[in-house]
Amino acid sequence: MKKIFTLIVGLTTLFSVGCDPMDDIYDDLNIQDNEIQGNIDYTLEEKDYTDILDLNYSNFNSVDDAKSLIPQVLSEKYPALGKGSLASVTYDIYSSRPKEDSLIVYSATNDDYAKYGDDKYPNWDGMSQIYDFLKGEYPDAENRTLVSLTYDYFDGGTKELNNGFFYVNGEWMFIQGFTQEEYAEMGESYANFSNEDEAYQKIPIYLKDKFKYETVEAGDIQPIMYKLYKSGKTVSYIAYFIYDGEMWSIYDNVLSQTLQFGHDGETWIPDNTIQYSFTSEDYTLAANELSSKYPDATDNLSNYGNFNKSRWDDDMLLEAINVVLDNLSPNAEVGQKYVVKYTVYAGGTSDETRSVIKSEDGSWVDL
Amino acid sequence: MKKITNLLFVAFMMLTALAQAQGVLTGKVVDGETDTPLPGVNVIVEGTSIGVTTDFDGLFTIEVDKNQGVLNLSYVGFASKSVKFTIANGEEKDLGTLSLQMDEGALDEVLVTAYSLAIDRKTPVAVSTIKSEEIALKLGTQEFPEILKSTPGIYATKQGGGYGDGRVNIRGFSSENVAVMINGVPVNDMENGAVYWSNWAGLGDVTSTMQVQRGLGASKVAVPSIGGTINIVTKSIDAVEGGKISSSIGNNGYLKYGMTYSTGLSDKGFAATVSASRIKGDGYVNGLQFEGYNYFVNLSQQINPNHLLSFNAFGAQQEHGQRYTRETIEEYKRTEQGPKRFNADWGYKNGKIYNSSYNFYHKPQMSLNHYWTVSEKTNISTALYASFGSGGGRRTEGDKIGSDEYRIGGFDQPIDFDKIVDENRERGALGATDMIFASNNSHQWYGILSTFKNRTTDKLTISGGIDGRYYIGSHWYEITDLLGGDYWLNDNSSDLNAGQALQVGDTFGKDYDGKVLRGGVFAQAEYDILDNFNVFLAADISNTTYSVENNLKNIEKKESDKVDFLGYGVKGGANYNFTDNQNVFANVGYFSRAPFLTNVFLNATGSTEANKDAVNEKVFSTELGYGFRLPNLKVALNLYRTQWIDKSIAGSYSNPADQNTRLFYNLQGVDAVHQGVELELSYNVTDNFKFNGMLSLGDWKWTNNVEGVKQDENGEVITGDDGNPQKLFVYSKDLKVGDAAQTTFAVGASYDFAPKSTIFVDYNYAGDMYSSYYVEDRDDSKQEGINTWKAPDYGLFDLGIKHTFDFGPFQASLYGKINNALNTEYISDANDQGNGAQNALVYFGAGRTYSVSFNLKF
Repeated sequence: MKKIFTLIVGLTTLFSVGCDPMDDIYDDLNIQDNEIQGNIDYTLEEKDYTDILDLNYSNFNSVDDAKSLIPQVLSEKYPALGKGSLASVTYDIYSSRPKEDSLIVYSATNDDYAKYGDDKYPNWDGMSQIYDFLKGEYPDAENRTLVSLTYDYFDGGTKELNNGFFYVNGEWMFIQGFTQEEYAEMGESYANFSNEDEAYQKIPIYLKDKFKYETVEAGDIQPIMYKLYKSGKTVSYIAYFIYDGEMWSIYDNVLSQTLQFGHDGETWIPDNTIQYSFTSEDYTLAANELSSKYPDATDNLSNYGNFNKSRWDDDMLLEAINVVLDNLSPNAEVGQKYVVKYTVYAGGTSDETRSVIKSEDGSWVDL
Repeated sequence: MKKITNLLFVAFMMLTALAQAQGVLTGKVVDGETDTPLPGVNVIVEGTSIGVTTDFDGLFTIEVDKNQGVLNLSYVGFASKSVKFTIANGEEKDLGTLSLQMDEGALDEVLVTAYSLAIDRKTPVAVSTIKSEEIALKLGTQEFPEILKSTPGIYATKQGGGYGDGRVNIRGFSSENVAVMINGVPVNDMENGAVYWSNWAGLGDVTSTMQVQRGLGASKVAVPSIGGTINIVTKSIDAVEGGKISSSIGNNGYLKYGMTYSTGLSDKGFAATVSASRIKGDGYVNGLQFEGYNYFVNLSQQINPNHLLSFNAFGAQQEHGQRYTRETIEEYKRTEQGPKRFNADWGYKNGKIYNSSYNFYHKPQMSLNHYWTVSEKTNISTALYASFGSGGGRRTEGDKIGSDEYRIGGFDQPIDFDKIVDENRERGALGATDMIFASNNSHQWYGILSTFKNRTTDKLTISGGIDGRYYIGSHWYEITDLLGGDYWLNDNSSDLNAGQALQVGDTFGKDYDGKVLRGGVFAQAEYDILDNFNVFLAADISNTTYSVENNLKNIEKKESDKVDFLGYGVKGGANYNFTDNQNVFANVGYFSRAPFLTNVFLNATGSTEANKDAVNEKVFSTELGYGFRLPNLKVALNLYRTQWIDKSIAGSYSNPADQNTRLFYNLQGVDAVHQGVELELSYNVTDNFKFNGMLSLGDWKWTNNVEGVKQDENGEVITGDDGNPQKLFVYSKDLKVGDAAQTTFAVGASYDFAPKSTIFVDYNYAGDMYSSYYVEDRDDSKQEGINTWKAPDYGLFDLGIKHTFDFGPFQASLYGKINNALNTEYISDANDQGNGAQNALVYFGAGRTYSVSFNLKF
């Protein structure tokens, strides 16, 4: 008896396609068991650079380095996350700003005003005059030469200013300096700071006040020239200060940036995907735009505010997505990806997501 | 009970020492065709009220009070048999194996005729028969149509998995093209032809025989048997007193208990049978809890030998959570619950499960049957029947229900109805954004079916009859739960109550009645050319009148015109038993079928305008069959070719220029061919060890491309800017038909390890299932000839065991059953969305399920 049963089971197993008919499909679709899709925000920590990536410094040298190395960190940190996951990663990048190699301290004379100014008054009243002066007087300036220039400037009234002019890569660059009064406001009896620490502490506070009426955005970097009294003489220096959205602080040549990565089922790749959910205006827009082409489906869409799956097939839905994204982001670059979410009706309402990318011909196509 | 009575009676006889002759007869009754035991056969001593019924193994023991006489054996669908006996006093005599032939005769002849059953080696159609004992052994917790899955040409699934939500396709045709008849009465929906198995959820309990006639079938009445006919014969008159109590438990809280009791045939010729059961469970898939009550009543009165009156009523009141939303494979795999159990359509409200997709229905079916033996040669059976369906499905309004933001957690978590309720309450006088309503589909259905049969000569039998039906179906949306809102503002601009604040119980969106009046006559002649060669010819003609009445929309014409369709069919066939164990048969048929009401009134929800160009569909079918029979081997081979000629596909959409009118299209001449080979065999290796198998190879496809023109509501062709008619093109040529496995096979083995105990294993394979699509949507020439995505082939094992034993004075049976024993993950249903497996919307089949049941017969 047992033999017969074994035979039957054996025979049928031969005929059968194995116990897991779904295996091939899962392979084709690149679906792993227990795959998690999630969105995370992460800021790299020091040990991510040093331990996981084995770097000497806690920052990257370039954005390309960040793009190629961050996936390692994500795979290590979030092994469970799989296809479709998005990670917004904040990291530090080394981005040094040039400092002065040599310093020229100069105070403009009446001859200078006469030679480079455009009127008889002993001052300058336009920035171009100053640049003319610099080009005329220092035609052979070495790269990274800082001219700490004290000059009278007319702007409704004559004022003595001390600003830096920094010669880098063949261009003169304006570096904001401080006047005698400004040093006084910062609590200095003389037009200088006593030491670097004092400068780095006071300048941010002063900048906050100085730029209070101007639009400053997080990440803006402001070069500043300040003076120190050192070994009996006054020396000018360049320092950069960075705004974090609230406060200024000394820029340490490390810039914080954010990049988005997406999981393609195997690994994390830099990804510009934007997730977007349709609003009720979007449904209305799609219904209006496509009404002549699909009168029936759009009729239903404007009545119910969702896509009835029996009326909207995949191609039609893509057209609707094109309408909405073209409206939302008309200037999106080729290669821009979106994951759009919209409501469908198939007996009950549910959300559906679809990944699209802007193609060469400007249309949005399935990813 | 009767055993005790008999025992007492015997004891009493012995005590009183009456010198009355007596003895005990035993025997076994089997189906003459298959040699399988026939349970429930009535065994009666002629001229007395002494009777018993056979047990599940066809065995009976009867005490007789005379030395010689006649035993009458009778069973629905089989010819009665009389067996003479002589017995000495006190003797116990074994009459051996007695076989009943499925044939015409006496009362059974009436039933065979009335129920349109096919007779082996006589009726030339492809047929498979499933008996009540197989249902008891193999159905378990499956959907009722799934019992047919080992039958060639059948594809049965649970669909979403809700209780009663199963479906069955025959030869690639879906339910509107498969006739389902219960006790001879057609039960396909009168408006759209569909079969809702949830209406008949308890039917497995009271079915005595289920016969699947593939292809044209043996029905004389005009029925939509393009794919085939499923004939279900319920239990009817039980001549002997007795009953049964039973209980089953199974996976996911499945619990069923019930009882059946028959009074037996009284001296005055009255018999009653009552059966009732209750069923509930949580469902294998999440959120598919269900509860149902099944009942069956038969009251019969034998007025005199020539007149039998029988009243049948049965029904299944049920409500169950549903899984409507299909997901992509990838989405299912991402769910926490996994593809087999995930369901998006349920959540929690006030701490209790609350479904966004839910079904509740009750459809009692009643019939009064009169069987009249007019003469030896003539009989007439008449059924007057009525059925009242009430119930519907839950629907949702608003964008919150089902969206990810209103779930308790992620996209794969239950719906957070409480959050919606809170927000609706906060909105106060602004009214509900989201609410729950019922899409009700209730109906009343009255019919008469009368069949006359006359054995005109020895060789010629003529039958004929009438088929009359009246049906009115009411369809409306009714608010059932405002989810905490003060009211819901009706935003359906075409409703008479548009812009009004509606409350629970108010109607909106849809409210119309569909009416169908149908009358037909049918006739059939059977002629025995030789003893072993017979032919038949049958014809039917019927007129169907459709109309609709709109109760809600702001339209001038509330009642539609009446639209008539004349349908007819002719079929003929022959069977030749060219040796004692071989036969061949052939049949051919053509019919022209009225379109469904839903194809005539394309937008019954909003309009009473009929699609003036709706036409009948024509079907031409041919079939060849071969049968081979040895005592222990039975083989059936069928070849079929069904041509669907001129399938008409109609649709409508609202006119962009005027939203209140609709434009129509009628695509005519879409042709399909369903052809294939079916092999069925059973082989009894020994008396105890049996083997059966089935192979079905289908080749079902659309055969041509078609085009149609757009028309306005007056049937005028619409022209485009260039003055030419606006056309629709459908590229359907050579596309495989979807939604059913074109290749299936099954092998099974059973072993009787004790006289009344069996163990079995079945393997069912389904392959070449192309995902489902609407052929009219294939309007992209670039996709011409490209089949839809083919779902992965799969094979499933079922195991079961039955053990019968004496339990005091009762006979007890224990059944154990495991479906999908290997817990295989597979796709049972798929809707094509383009882009293959990536986008196909699917249902996964259930994983391993089990049930154990216990019966006690008395």
